[in-house]
Amino acid sequence: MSAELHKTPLLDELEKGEWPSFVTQMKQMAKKNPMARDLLGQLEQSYVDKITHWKHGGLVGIQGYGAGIIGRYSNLGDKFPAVAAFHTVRLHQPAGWFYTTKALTDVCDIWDKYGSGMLNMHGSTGDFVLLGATTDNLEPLFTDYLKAGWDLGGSSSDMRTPSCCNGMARCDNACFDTMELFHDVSMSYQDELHRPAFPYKFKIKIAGCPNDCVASIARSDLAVIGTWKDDIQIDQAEMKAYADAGVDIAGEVIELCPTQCMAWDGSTLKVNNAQCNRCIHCINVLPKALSPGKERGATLLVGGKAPILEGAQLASVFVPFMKMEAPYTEFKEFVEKLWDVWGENGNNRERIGEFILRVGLGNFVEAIEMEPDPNMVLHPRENPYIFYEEYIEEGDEE
Amino acid sequence: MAVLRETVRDCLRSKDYEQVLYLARRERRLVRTLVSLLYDGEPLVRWRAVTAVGRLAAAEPEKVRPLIRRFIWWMNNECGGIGWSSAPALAEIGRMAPELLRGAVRVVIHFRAERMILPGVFWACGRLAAAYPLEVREAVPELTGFLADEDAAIRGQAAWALGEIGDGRAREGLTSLLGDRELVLLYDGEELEMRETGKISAEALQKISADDHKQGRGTDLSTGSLGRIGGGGKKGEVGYVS
Ligand code: SF4
Ligand code: SF4
Repeated sequence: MSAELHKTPLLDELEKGEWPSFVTQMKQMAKKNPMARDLLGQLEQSYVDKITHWKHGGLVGIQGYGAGIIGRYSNLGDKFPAVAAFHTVRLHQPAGWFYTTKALTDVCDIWDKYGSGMLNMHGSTGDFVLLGATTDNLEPLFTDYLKAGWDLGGSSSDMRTPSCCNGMARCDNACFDTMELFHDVSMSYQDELHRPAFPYKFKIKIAGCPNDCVASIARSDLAVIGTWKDDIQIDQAEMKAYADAGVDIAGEVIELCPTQCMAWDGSTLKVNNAQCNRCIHCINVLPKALSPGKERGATLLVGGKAPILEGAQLASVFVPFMKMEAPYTEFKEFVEKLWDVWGENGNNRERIGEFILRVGLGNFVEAIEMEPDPNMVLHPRENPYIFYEEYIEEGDEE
Repeated sequence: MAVLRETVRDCLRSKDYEQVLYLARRERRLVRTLVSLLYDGEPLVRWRAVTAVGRLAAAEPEKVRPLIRRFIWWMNNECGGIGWSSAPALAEIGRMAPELLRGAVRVVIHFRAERMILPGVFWACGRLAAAYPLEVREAVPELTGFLADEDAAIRGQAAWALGEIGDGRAREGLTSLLGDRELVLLYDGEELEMRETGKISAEALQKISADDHKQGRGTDLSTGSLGRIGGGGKKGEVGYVS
């Protein structure tokens, strides 16, 4: 290999300034890996031509798996042969992104042996993403990762690698053990993850509280968001301490409560819990004084997605409250019902949210055998969009 | 769901397709399970799932119709899927319920865009020979070209398909493969077997001669002859070349 780097005057601009630069990182790798070197060359060419030089698509994979590797080919293979085939490998992330140093070293050692040496971690797909392997190296690198205890993540029309916040490991707000649910879902649905059989992708994202740090409501087909059913717990002494310390409780909390269900008289806080919509703002601002209630679980929302075929969509509430405890039987029954109805009737490349829009939420709720509930809303405090058919007498229709 | 999967897997291992059809009438998850088994880690289960999809197409076409677009999408998918068994499953649908595949049969036969799934595409060409003789014949010149491919799985499956199609134009190419000792995993619709590419070619040549004999013809079979006269496969209509 010639150690000479390609000339990259345009990319060099991106190294200026105070911030870390991906170009600098790629140059470091380019000194020892020809794939990284040609990647820099191709990227510079893309900046010159103002167009990507990756071809559209490409099917590659591992026998016994229908997903987990994304084929990528360069249309400048003659000029940059080391990136002619530059496939992306998705490794299934661990719950809450906790790694031991040894685990990370193992991943990188195997990757140095077979791939470009470059990777990125936990973008919107969630997986540990390894960038740039040749077709011939896919089987051997997969075997090595399997031996080291790793497996591929999801892609294509399957259950995608779930993602979760690291809730209980780090956060007082967590209303259930997000990481345990993540692990259980992933292990229970290995076939759904590796062997695509759905109309399109299905993402499950899990957040421990309404802060929704994994943005599940906007990015997943099934969002599991921690919440509580009973009253917010209040420590009035701590409230007083906040006030004494100069916190503007009226301005920062009471007036910003979206449902205006709080009252503060300078020494005591009162909450009309029936009106509280569990937005968690007050708890975020006054964590020592306020905490979620004791009866904790999650709200399940369905149908969120980023824009591709239809526009972006936020998920709608389907189950206002469900206890989240192992073995998650009720949760799994719900998930499998969604899969049954959408799996059987969804059009090819139709996300479940688009499917619900097409058939109507009322029909969908009936198909998954749920009782309509006034809590099923698209936005907080919006009218429910369900019909009470039993109120319509036959004669009334004429 | 895991229980159903294991039940179906056992049915496939013992070739109990009747039981699979019985389950299909009772279990709404059967179709999804079968589709998922098309990627199974056990090769024989994978291939027999292909056969089962065909049987299901004959017994309950409406259950299978929506799968056709999905299978085609998984042959072209750019979001990280690979339809290893898509072309074979489509072929079994076309073989067992020809009308279901009519609008898409050429998409399968002329698919060349992705090398990794080409062996399955060639297997599909062979399996579709009886149901769609004119259409598969359009692919003979290209299939013959792949007999010289560097990948044994591609050579072997192309040779097998050419035997099934029974077209004399493949003779020369097949003859040149007779000494090929590389092994290929081949599914005959029931069993999976490691076969030598040279032997597959020898059998293909025999099938071509037998077909010639049946048709009372000497050599060339390049005109529409297996039951349909005229029309159909226009020459030079070969689609996508990689
Ligand atoms: S979503 Fe809630 S529980 Fe999870 S990390 Fe964010 S604040 Fe903590
Ligand atoms: S959680 Fe939100 S809605 Fe409920 S009391 Fe606090 S600020 Fe108000």
